[in-house]
Amino acid sequence: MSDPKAGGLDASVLRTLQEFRFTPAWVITGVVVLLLLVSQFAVTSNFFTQSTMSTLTPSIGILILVATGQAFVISTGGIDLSLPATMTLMGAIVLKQSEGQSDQLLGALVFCAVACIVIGLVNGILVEGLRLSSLVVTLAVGQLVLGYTQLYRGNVPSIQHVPDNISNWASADLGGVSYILIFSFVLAVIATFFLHRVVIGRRLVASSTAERAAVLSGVKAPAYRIAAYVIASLVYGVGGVLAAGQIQTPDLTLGEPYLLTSVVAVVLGGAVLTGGRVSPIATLMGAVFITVLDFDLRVEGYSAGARMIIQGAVLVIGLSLIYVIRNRASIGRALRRSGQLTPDRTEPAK
Amino acid sequence: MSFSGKFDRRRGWLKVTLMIGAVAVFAVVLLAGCGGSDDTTGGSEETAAAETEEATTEEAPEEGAEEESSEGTVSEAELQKTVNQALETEDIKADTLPPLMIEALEMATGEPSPEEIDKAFECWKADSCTLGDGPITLALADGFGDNTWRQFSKMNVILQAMKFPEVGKFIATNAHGELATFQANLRSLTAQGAEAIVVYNDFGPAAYPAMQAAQREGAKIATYVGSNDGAPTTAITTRVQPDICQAGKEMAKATEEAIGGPGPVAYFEGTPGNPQDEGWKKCATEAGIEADFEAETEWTPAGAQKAATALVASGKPAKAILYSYSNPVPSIVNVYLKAGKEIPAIITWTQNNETTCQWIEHPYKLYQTNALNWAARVAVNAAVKATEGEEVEDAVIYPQPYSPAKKSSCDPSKPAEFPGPSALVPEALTEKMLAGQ
Repeated sequence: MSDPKAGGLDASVLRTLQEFRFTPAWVITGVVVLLLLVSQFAVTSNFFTQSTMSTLTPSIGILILVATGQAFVISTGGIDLSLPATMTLMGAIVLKQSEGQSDQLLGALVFCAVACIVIGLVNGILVEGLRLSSLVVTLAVGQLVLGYTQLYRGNVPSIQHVPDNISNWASADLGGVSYILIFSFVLAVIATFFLHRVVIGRRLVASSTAERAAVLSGVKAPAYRIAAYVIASLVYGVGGVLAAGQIQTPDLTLGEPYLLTSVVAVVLGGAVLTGGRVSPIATLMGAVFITVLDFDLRVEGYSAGARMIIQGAVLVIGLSLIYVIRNRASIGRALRRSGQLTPDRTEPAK
Repeated sequence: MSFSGKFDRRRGWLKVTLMIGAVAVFAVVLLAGCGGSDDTTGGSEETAAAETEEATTEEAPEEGAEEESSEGTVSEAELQKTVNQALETEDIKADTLPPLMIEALEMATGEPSPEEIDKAFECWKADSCTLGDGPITLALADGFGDNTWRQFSKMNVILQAMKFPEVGKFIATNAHGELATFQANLRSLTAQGAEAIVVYNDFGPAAYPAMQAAQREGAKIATYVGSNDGAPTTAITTRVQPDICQAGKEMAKATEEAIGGPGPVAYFEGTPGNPQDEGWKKCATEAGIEADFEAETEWTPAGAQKAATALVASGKPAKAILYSYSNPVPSIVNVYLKAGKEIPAIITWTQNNETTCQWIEHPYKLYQTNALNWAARVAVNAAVKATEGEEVEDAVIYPQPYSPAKKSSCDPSKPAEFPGPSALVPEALTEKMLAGQ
């Protein structure tokens, strides 16, 4: 006879395991843990050293930030291609408005915030208010912003170095872990709390996942969906300012590396490009995965072509895995059906 | 039906109103931003110049030289001074240089007058201007004209074009790094009657068909700096560039000098597989350099930072980094500073103010070439002379010596990307360019 107490424990563990939802967020978290172990034990024993962490974690932090912004837009079923231009504009504003002086940074940041709100509003109004394609609208707005940035920045800007206070902050770390990563992690946690526990956040999720139902429930869904673009733009702005601080001499290519990677990070976090619920924490994991994978391949000395092939393959496998996890029930049914049908098909005619 | 139609019309008006409103808000903010950007140029304080124990090469030429240059003859001493300034070394004699390069640097000798400076500056700000009464339309087709280095090259083109009375109109185009735009720009330039076209080819052989088409239309094309080895003369009349292989060997020599041996070193390159980087890397390796790490940087600060981070984490003991662009070097150095590791020797093409100033603050072994912007002047000479029917060389191969960084090359009052006095842009004009946004 088994111990009833132990049996109770077994039963509760079994129940917990049965109730455990094998979500994309858990999968990407597991994969990231695996990748970090591979990085430390198979790629470089220096991975978790202070020197590596202090230079790698700022890149991860910035990608987490902009991917979190992109996640807000993707949750509405849209995509934001104005991200690189917005980030590049932030670099130009930080340079020009502050004139390289630390005491003028605050004014520059206010200017940055206003610019981001305007960009987000224009994107949001055109996409949600006028029902235009987000792909086309954000591409056009991105071009507009980039063109403006070139005119605003000038061909030969007289100030090309950001103020010391922002560069010092962007390069500061705690035990090797960049403040930028800590900040972006906190932001992702706050965003998760906001989306799941705050009324406005839940309305935003409702407006994104089921717009019609939200409208019928009295939620001003279009306004919330426009707000998603504004929030995204503001988050890109923060990412742009911090990227400028980290690079110290931001140029017109500042935002370029973040367009595709931000979308990939969101998708690896389990989001569907047609819209729906997104998880900032899963997006964070997606960003960590993309950055660390690229880092490992660089350390191993792979060429850009090889890196692209490997990253593309990983993306395809990741997306396939997410599809399987999301649709495991229907896939299982289909497999069972085909299993039942197979003998009939193979049975010789009598 | 009628209600539905009315409702649809009202929705239509609402859409139009919203669209106009959004565009208007955006336009107002843009204009406000543009308006507010005018008074931000004079903010940088004049700071004390860096130590000047090395002889600075940007002094104005002596009085007699200006007269001489206006008469079209320049003394050997004056020419040598310009050569020394352009190449940032006193080791190369002017008479050993290719004839077209000597001619271009002779014309570059001497300070332009205040009127010429004003005209050059106005022309630099515009995309099109009239430089003189001559019949030739000269154009600059830049593959990517969005950084400071390219802007100083553009100024070199203008200053050199002003020396030719036969040049009338000047047109500048910028493809912003897009091949399709570059091709369209070339078509547009030939349609506008450009006969002499100076090109910075950012696209390698992919740009040759467009250049061939332009030359078929009667234009003469001369390229500068970027490697166009093997380009047919049907595409490029004259290539003004370094001997890429020789540059690799020179880098190997500088590396030996800097670290006292062949390696181990790391090769940093720009865009993946670009022929320029592949060329010098191959020849540096053939010269005995031992590279055990390679990385692409896209020639951007962010790319250089990623490459340096990977190098540091790899644990490979690179004693030197060989690279083809000076501007992103501060990002590499920052990674080493952040990691608390010793900065390796850096041997790099071109020159950059921030790089030199950072090197003064955090000393390490830094070898650079000169700014190379002056090569655009040689390309102007080649294109104009070819347009006039003169025989010009297919290739003007200039020397690219590497020399230890000089403290005099740092000017804290200038922006980070200022390419230094070897850019051959007069100080007064440089000031105007930096203040003229």
